[in-house]
Amino acid sequence: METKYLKYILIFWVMVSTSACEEMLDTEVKSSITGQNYWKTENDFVPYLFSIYARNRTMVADNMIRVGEERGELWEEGYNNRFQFWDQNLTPGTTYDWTTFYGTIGHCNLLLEQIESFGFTNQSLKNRVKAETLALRANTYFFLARVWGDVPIVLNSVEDEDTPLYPRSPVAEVFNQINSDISESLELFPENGYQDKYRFSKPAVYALQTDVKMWTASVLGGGNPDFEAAINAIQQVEASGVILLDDYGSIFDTDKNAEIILSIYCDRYEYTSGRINEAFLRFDTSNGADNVAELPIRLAAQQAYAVGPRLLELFEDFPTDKRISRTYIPELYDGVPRKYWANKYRGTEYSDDRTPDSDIIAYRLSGLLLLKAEAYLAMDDLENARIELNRVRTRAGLPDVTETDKTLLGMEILNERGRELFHEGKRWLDLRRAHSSGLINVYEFIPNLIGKTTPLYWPVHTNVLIKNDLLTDPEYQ
Amino acid sequence: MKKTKQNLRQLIMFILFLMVPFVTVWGQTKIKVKGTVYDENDALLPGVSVVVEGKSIGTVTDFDGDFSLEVLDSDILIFSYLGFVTKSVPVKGQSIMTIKLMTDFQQLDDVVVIGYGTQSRAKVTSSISKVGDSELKNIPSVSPAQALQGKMAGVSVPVLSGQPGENPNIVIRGGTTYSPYATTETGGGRQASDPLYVIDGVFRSIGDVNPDDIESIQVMKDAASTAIYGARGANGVIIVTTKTGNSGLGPKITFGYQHGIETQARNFEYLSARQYIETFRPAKLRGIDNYDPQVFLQSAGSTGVPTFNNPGEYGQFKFTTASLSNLVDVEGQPYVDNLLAKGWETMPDPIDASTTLIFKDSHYQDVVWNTANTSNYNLGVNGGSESIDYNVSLGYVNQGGVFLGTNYERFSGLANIGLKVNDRLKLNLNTTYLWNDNQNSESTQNDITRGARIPPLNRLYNDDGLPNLGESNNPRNRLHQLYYQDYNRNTNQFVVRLSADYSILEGLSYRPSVSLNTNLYTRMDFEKFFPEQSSPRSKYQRIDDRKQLMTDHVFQYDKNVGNKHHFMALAGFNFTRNKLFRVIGTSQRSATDIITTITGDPVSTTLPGGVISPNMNASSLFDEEKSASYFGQFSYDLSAKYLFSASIRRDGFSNFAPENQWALFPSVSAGWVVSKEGFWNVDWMNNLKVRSSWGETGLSNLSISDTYGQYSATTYATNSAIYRNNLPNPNLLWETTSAFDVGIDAGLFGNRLNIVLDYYNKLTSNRLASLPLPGETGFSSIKYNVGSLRNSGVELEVGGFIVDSPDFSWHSNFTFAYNKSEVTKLPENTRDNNRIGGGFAYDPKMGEEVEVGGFAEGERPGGLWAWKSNGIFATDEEAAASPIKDLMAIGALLNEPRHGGDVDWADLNGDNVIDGKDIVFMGYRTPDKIGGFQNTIRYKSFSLRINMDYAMGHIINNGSLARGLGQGRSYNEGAPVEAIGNDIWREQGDVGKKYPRIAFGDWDVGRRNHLRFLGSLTGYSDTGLSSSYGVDNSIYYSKGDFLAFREVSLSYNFPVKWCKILNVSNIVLNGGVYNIGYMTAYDGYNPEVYTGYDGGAYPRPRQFTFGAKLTF
Repeated sequence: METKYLKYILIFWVMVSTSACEEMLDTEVKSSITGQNYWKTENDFVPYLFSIYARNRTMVADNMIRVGEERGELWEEGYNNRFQFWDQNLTPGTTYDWTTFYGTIGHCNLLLEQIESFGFTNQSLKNRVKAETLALRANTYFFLARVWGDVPIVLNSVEDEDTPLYPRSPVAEVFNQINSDISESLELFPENGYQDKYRFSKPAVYALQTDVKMWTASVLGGGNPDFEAAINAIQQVEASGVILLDDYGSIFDTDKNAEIILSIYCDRYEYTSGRINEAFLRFDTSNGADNVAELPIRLAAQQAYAVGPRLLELFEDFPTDKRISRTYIPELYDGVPRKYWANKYRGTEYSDDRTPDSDIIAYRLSGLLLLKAEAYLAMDDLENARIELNRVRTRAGLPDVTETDKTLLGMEILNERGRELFHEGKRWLDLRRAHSSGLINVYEFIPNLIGKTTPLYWPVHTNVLIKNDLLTDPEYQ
Repeated sequence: MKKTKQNLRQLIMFILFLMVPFVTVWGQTKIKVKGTVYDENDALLPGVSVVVEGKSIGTVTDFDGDFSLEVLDSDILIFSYLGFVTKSVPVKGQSIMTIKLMTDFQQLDDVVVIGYGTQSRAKVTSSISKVGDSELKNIPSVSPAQALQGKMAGVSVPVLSGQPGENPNIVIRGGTTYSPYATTETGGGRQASDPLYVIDGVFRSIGDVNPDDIESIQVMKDAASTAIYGARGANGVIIVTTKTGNSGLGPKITFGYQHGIETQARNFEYLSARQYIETFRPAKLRGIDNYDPQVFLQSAGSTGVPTFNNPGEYGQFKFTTASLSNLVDVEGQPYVDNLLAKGWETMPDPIDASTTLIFKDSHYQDVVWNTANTSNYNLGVNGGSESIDYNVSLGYVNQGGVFLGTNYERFSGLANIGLKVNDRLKLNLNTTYLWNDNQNSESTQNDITRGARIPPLNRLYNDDGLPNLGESNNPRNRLHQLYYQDYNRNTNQFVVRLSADYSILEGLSYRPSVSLNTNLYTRMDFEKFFPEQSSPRSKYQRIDDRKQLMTDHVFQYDKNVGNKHHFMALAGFNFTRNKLFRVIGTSQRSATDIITTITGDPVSTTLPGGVISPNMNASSLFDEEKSASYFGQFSYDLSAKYLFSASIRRDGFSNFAPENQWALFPSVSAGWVVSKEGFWNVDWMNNLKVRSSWGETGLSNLSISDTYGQYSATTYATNSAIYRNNLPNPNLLWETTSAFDVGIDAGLFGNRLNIVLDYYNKLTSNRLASLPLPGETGFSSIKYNVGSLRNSGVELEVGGFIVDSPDFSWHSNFTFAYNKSEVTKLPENTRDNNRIGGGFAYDPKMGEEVEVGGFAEGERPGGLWAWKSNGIFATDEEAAASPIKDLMAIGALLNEPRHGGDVDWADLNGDNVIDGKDIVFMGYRTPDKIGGFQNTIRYKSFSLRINMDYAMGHIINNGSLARGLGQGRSYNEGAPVEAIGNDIWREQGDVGKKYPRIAFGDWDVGRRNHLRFLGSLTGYSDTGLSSSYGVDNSIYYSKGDFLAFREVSLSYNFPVKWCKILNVSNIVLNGGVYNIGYMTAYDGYNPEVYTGYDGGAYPRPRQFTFGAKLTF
């Protein structure tokens, strides 16, 4: 070989390989989206909104029992206890860590910040995305306020590690924020009706507003103005065309039916609910039951929660109530019930196995009618309270209530909510309102609270407290 | 041509003008020297390198140890051969030489790789350990890494899994992270501190290198040796050199076969089916935990006795327990008689003697654990001529696993070819290929930790002959899994590297290289149809195509001034690009079991409610990373007495933001060979070198999403959805480890005994780790430069001949290393010592609550805390008398009385409740003292090796036992023999027991006497164990200190005359036992766990090997 060529090759090689060091480290990014290449077109906003719905679904599905009902009186332990709060033994180590809920709020904040200055060719799309995002944020804060009371209000998205520490704001301020998000959302919706019942719509935001106002009216002492606002909001919902279905069972078996105002999408291939699974039975424990074919049985069910005697008592006087068969089901051996199990969200039985894929109902008309009855009662309008209550009872095949004593009628409404809405994530919150309005004392009413002083709000998690020294939790010192 | 050469030389000389004083040797006459080289036993030594000092003239001795060379009378010949002391002989008129080389087991003078160059061992000023191929001969593992256990001080090689083909993680000098060994048995929580592996100049993994191909493995521990690898060297560098050919030798053909037998080193001892029923049915009946005993006695769990109503039901039920009369009623007497004939047993129900139970003991442990066989073949050809040398080899290994259905197969090939183009240019081509097939357990936790200890009452086969599923898809009957699953994982790896060594002029060389490392990983998984599948006929197919392109350019200049001053300067450049292209396809619900690949049928399924769900899914990923570096190295020594070396490297990595991409890593080192001084006249210490080094190295362990943030995809109501799931941090900087090392190398009694002692101090700052964020941000953490970690320690290696005579020798090597790890700095927060994580505990000594756990400045990472047992209540009365309320039991039992057999927990702060504050410090997950002891005893042609290694200073939680006695999930765990042993509370009045009463669903429905977890009960992070297979309960903790008897092996060299008769040049027979056992206080399966707990992972087998190696 000619050495001179070697020399040229050498020089060439050295030049090529050591030049252009800046470009040398440029890489092609094909498989990831970063903050640098997102938020570039109008089409980037709707997918982001859907991701917040996906998070909202996890929050609702995980908590409809945990926060909505465990601390109430209607459940008892199944064969494989998975309760976290049922025994009212709440500690900073076993409570919720609120990071995931603030994650949802953070996503709302980021979307709202990005959309503010972004010019849309389709203004109504922009308004709708904003309206739904505000509703999701209000909904999340409402959840936080009911679990912890005073919570930090965070309205800016996080950009880096340099984040301010927020103290807990008084619960009233949290509700100011919720109310303002709801009002803004209601103004922004382009239409009055529903586009998709899996998403917030104007009627669904009114339903949320009802829930919020009922809470602030009772628990925070908002009184009549809030009750009036709630009644007004319910009237707006009713005007949207929702009706009471004749067949109670089909409310849970038919997705997005005419009674539903807002529901959470679940499906075998997209999302199944662990909480529903926990109320299912397993074949190996129940295969000897007389009615094994009717039981909600699944291979990997947790059989963690069973129906408690207090629910049965609610139905005791009304054996012909049409709701019974779709509320609970006994596990029978030689005709004798061993335990009773929830029977509302039965999932779907496929050829291979049952799957907990029932949509989860956030708001439906009968729940709102009972809230309306509760509001009228609070404002001493017993006549209207009875009318609304009886609308729900008629569908269930129960006789009209004629009660004229305010307290007794209040108990009728509370009991009716228990019968109508069991397993729908409402009971503990109903009892909280009834406790605040003086109808009941939860420390006497709920078996697991008798003799205890457990606060009604949840403790803040150790992990959360430890990372922010502005946070305190005086109730759980 | 000659003219051109001279022109070139003059040109470059001109460029380097005054730097190079001319030394010329014109005009002397050449003479021819012939000679023969022998070893100390007068055996001929072929392949010895003979070079003229300071020149590129040389040769190699032939088969008969002969050489001949044309030299000048003033030349000095240097004879070197690996494993022998290099010898310099002046020619001085000799024309026939007889040279004798002395064995140098200490290899003090062997050549070591220092970054991009090589250096004589004697001149090295940094900390480098090396093992030669003798340590890698006949090893029973497919990975060379396992053979390093205990052999080099400060190099930790815990083998956590005995799965065939498994690769241990090597951690050098404590690594640079909080948890270099993982915190769960499945590898979770591991913050990698892996060294950089450089295999024949290519960055790749060590696990897939055939140990038979390896010439040497060298570990560079301090920054002075690793700084030249800058960006990647912070955790040390391991350099593997494969065997090359010998020029001037005829072909040498070697063939080796080794057979291995693998057995379980320790048996998992569980109750028999009968004992299980006898133990658990009465325990359940006691009913003091929060469940309905009737439900459990009748139907739930493995010892329930369900009522069967229909014929055929029993024959496919997952447990075999039934009431004899019920079974006769439903299936008839002949059916039952048939069962009894096939091994079914009967016994009276321990809780109701009027009922007879029928059951079958599945002897499940004997089903899933086996004796396995390993075959290992190696064939190689090695040789060369004047201008070419080559080494080609093929290897095939098929390693069986002791756990049913596990296996590892590998086929590998290697070709190293050196080509001497002319006097100045040498080309080297290194190529390796490997294919492997991994039949490993799908998931250690599901298949082994949980799945291998299901109770012996589980049905193995249904009446129709097909395997029974077991409790559920997880854990599952292993026979069912193997029957239905067809899982294939293969790797195809091809590495090719072309390098050149071009001598531009005397002393100046240019060494470029280019390499391509392609790695194709494929997965083809299919599961045949069975009724309980959640997605029927699920198919998963995947291809990962990885390509690493690497190029190096190194200029090196060596210069001697006179006989005293030796200079070496080196400058170079490296560029590395890694690409990954991944395609994954999945499908389900196709029509048949015949086609196991994806066919696209059916396209979709309509679900109830009208939702159409697709049955096929595909995804792909492309990722690219680039790094580039400029480096320089300089070394100088004066008469090999005063040594100095320095290096500098500038590194760039693509995943940092542009302004932070580049960083500079310097190092300096110096040494003084005291024994070469004139004043040194210590007879017994003939060699003494003191050396010291300091340097900085980096780590760039981050992804592009850490710098720029990441948005990910999900779905809601079948709409595609996108969200931000990772916060950006464009301010991330290179992690830097600055390390100081001081060491002494001493040779005693004529180098018969060698001592190497080192002290090091490494400070890793700007650690690339996760910084926890306040919960209100909605993110749990962000990638951040989180504070500093210090690892400091001492290392000792002592090696030498205890006996050294021609017929009998005994060589020993002992290593010891102590490492201290300490968090020195953390980002400012409002807590004491800027603690991250952890919680509060009461300290009885100080009489106050203190913060413990997590990570804090001034503390060693990896501490573990647990609730402390004061003993077991002997009776119900004794338990009832205790005023203490245990808040950690399940809520429903809080107001219930405690019982005999429950744990009397220590109430440290005397507040009469047991909560998160009543925890005590147990110890640390990882050992701080490690080492080993190797012996090679040679008698004539026999060679015996006895190797041991040890680790001290760690604790282990016997989580496996806790799960067995506590039966966490009330269904699926077989009980260990301890359940009926002497240490467990069994009845009222049992005093002084260690273990509490056996429990069913201890965690779900019980007192949590066995199973209690700090993380989920108190929210304290990084304070207790991180897996539910280890428990934060003092009862199950013990020291993990162990001495492992690793190897006893014998090899025998056939006498030369026998070989001659057989017409082979050499035959070696070998046999050995590996992983013989441990001396340890730990009573569980494996003391070699550095995760803090032993949940029962894949046990390391005991291996017996025997084999032969023939050389032609």
